[in-house]
Amino acid sequence: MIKMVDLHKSYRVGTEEVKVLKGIDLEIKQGSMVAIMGRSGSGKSTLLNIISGLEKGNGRYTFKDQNLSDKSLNELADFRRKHIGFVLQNCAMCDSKNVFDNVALPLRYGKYNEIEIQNRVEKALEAMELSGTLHKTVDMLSGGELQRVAIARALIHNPEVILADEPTGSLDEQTEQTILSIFKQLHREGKTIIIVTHDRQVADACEETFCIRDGKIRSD
Amino acid sequence: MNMIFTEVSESIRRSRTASYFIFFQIIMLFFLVTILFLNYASLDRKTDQAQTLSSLNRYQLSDTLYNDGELRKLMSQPSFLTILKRLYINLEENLDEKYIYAFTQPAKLLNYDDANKEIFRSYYEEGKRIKPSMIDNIGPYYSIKAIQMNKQAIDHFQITVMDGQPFDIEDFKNVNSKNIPVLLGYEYKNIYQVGDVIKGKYLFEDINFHIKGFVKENSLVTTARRSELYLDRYIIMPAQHFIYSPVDDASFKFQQKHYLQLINGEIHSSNNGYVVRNKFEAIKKESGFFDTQLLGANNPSYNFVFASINEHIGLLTLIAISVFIVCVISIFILMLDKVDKNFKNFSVHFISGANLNHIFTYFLAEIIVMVCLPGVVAILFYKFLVDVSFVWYLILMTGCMATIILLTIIPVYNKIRRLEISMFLKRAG
Ligand SMILES: Nc1ncnc2c1ncn2[C@@H]1O[C@H](COP(=O)(O)OP(=O)(O)OP(=O)(O)O)[C@@H](O)[C@H]1O
Ligand SMILES: [Mg+2]
Repeated sequence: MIKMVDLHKSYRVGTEEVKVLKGIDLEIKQGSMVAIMGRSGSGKSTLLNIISGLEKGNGRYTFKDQNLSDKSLNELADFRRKHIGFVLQNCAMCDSKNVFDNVALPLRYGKYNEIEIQNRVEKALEAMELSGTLHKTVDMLSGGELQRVAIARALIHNPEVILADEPTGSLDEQTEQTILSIFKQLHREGKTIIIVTHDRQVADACEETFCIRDGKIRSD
Repeated sequence: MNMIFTEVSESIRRSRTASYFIFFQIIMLFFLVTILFLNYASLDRKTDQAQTLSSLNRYQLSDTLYNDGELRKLMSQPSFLTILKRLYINLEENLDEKYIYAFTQPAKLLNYDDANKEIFRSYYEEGKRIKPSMIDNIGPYYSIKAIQMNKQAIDHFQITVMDGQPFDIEDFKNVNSKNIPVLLGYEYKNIYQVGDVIKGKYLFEDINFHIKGFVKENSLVTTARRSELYLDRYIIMPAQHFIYSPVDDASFKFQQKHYLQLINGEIHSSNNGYVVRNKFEAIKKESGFFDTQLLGANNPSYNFVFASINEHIGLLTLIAISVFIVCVISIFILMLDKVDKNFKNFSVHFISGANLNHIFTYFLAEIIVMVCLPGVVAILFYKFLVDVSFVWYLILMTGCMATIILLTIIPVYNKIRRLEISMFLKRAG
């Protein structure tokens, strides 16, 4: 489903060029659950951004045989709207919106009417056992709740692929297990799941683990 | 659209204080712009003629003979006319201030049954018509717009004659003549010629109006009730001072009525109210007439405000320009600050399917709201309260708003365009 061949990414910092990804070859099958690991600064988030179309790399990137390499960032935003659900590092929220509006946001960028939005958000929050938080502001939520809100938002527009950047980074053992079981459940439902993590335990729960070292993928 | 609205209102609420501050600035700016506009707009319209007028304080004279019985008693005394005449002469000659008499009173004219002359009839502009009437089986007489002015009023309002001769001093003195020289407004130009004589009545006396000349287009006077009056459709009569004594009771009454009007003119003075009041009281005493008072001597505030605005127009312009610059800079700073502070928000929007254009649209919309909301309020206020040269005002305000929006959105656009999405996605949280 996701295929990258010799993908490079570098940033210009001042006058210097910093190469982060130096030839990534990667294939992720539809419906699989994979982990991406690597040391801090190795380029995990960068890779995830490229997969989601938030950034562009040099090299070939196809999604379901659709070549995304030469699409513009605006076109990639359309692609993201259709196919990608994203759980950000530290599960960032819009602080000025309540839980409902945070979860509804991806729908608001699509073509949904308010009734449909209402139904979907309520169902998604119910599935995450968050029904009581509907109109709370996000700063009233605990870490675990926030994480689940972030997942609800990633799922709300029913994407095929879920990307999660360290979804369990700052959680206690028990909450981590809950989140992980949610991902496993989604995997069983047929979603393609890509998790960036530092946590061996999380990686072990996945079918496959890719490790980024020196800008390249080393399969474990 | 809904989305934009939500984002803008959230953003404004997030930075409430700064936003209110900017609202306030912009309202202030538009207020200043409005004052300046009014100033220039009215200068433009009235030329410099009216400019000299507005710098003087105006005091309305008003007799206090409200009571009919009292008035009738006075009018029955033979000496009353003499007192009135003396008061008028004193006001004209011994007050040592400008005494301005400009009083509109229709004249009755014969032979006005002509479509071309419709516009000169009384109340034409108001859409009313006074029926022509027969007087002593002669007629019909038409009621025609006319204004009486004394010599000082004509000089003061700088009434200029284009064609023909201006009034000379003798024209204001009436030696029992049925002939009164008149000047005609500009729109009479193609209807009469200098030297023509129009037959008619004035205050029920048979009069021959001798056309002496035509006044300049757009000649403007302000009459007793402070309303502005363009003379283009008026007959201008010299305020008559009757040198002769009335021959019969009718003409005695007529002269009394005439002088009761003449003494209700205005004093225009650069002096303050107390000085003018003192002079006026002296004149009353000297003339032996006490039933008159000075209005406006105690509250020159309204005029004073406008006079002082006029005086400080340069300063005001400077303030307006400064406020404009401060406005632009503060919107610009606020917006750039918002770009910096809202990385987390942007990243949430981005993963939800937004692109840079969306983010830019939110900023543009926010700036438009911040500038146009006060702008629309100002325009509505203007429309309902002032409504002078509204189209020009609209153009000016639109230009003003567009300039502010343009000046502030360009740097914001530049900044957003250069945003590294990845930069804030990776430090989100
Ligand atoms: N927009 C950017 N401009 C310049 N350098 C960048 C940019 N984005 C990432 N980098 C650099 O690229 C490298 C990889 O960053 P990235 O965030 O992908 O690492 P990471 O593996 O996700 O790290 P962590 O585990 O700490 O989240 C880092 O050295 C980072 O400083
Ligand atoms: Mg990262």
